[in-house]
Amino acid sequence: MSASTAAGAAARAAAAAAAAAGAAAAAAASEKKLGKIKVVPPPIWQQKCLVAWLDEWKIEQSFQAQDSRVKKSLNQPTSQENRKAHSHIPADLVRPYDRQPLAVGQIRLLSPRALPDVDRPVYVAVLRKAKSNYCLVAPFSLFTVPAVPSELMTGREEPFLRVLSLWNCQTTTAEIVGTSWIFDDLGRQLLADAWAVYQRFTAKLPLPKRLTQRVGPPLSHPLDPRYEYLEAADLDSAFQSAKAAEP
Amino acid sequence: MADTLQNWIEWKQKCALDACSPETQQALRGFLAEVAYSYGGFDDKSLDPWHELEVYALVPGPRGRKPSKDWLFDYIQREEMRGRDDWMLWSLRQGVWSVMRTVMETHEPWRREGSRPRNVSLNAPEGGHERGEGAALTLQDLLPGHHDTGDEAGSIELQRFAHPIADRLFKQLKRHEKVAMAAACLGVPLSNGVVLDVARREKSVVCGSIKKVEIAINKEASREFPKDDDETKALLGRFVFCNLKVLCCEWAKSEIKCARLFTIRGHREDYDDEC
Repeated sequence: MSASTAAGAAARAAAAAAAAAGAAAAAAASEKKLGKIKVVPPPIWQQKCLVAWLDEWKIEQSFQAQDSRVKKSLNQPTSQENRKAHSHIPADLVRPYDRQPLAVGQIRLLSPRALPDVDRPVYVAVLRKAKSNYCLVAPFSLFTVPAVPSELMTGREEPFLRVLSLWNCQTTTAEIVGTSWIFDDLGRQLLADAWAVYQRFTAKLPLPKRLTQRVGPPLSHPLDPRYEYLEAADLDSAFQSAKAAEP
Repeated sequence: MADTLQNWIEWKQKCALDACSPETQQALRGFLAEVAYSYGGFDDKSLDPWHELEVYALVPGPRGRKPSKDWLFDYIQREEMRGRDDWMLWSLRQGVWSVMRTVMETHEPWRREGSRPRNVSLNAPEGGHERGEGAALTLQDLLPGHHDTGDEAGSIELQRFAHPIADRLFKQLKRHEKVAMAAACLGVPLSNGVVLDVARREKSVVCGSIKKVEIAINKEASREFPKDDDETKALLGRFVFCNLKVLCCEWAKSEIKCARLFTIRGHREDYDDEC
């Protein structure tokens, strides 16, 4: 056997060995199997809550698509009669703001002057009051069911007061919060519940069991439509600019 | 008959519309009906918009006062303060519209019209914002099941397989895809201007990159574990996705241009995943 033939045979043998090893690895790979892992479905209440929220979100989306057309119809030219009325707006048409006393637990409706950048009624609950001029307020959501775990169902009947958005809490001045009218009081229990949800959100403290079904379902997917809502409902910049405009 | 500012002032002063002159009643009812029925799908004429506004939206507090009515009229005075007299009626109308819109959105008799039956399938598409090409999100995507936390061995095994897949996929990701995944890890909306700015891509591209990553993960999981059932592969996919998010977040920490991502208020605490 010549040297070249021997070398060729060795190379063929090596190639065959490599092919065998590859096939073995492929076989091993195809046999790789994960053990059966039990998947626990999300609780029914979370599914129901999300479906209800998505219902409201869809209506909101359809409204948004029609808003500019509807708003255009509101913008009619001012007639002579209206101009006359402008100069006759009675001074006592609007009740004075309830500037004092500012107390923890109060539900207040902020005046449009307090938040000039926001064109909808903003109800807030006063959660904490500092000795300095600041207080912590939680706005109410416009929706009737909580969107995320940091939103709490209040159990109230009024349309604007059904859900507290604890993720949207704002530390702001007593002047801004005082530019408002007192609507009602949260009550001791609801105030404690709201504080517990807020603490879960900020200090990662566990949520009491009795509250688990009164908050919204968790976020899980980055493309969840609730993100869009969270961005649109965020009042952070509105409060910041209100603070900046203060004398 | 068009409403005038005087009509609205009369209503505020007399408290109830029924106490106002017939002209005012007609003008204000007409205006509100126009607003209420101008939204497609909400045209049940048996509902009285004015009744809904008065009874439901401008609901009095326990002290019997209606701060929401003060809010409406303070709204016009804000315009006056801004020196925009001619916009007062417009802004009042806009305030009424804003309140009425919420009534229609949240009050059952109105909602019934625009709503759908509540028994929804887990696999029915639910939409989702700009997912890019491909199917819409399902309720199952939005609320996936979890692995049984009692099965520790199982989850350790899933993690063991998920890590190398995530490492491999991370090397294949483009910069904007890493930014999108890092934002997802921080619980920051992908449509946030800072995210788009850092990613240097349009919203649809950034959102679409999540879908691309999901497809790549599913492909990898199916290739490596062809014999496993879909449920287990989906669970593995979520572990991989989660690991990949963390890798991208770590990467973003070392990128100077990504520093702004960490200044956005995220919703990490509302997030629930397999990590």
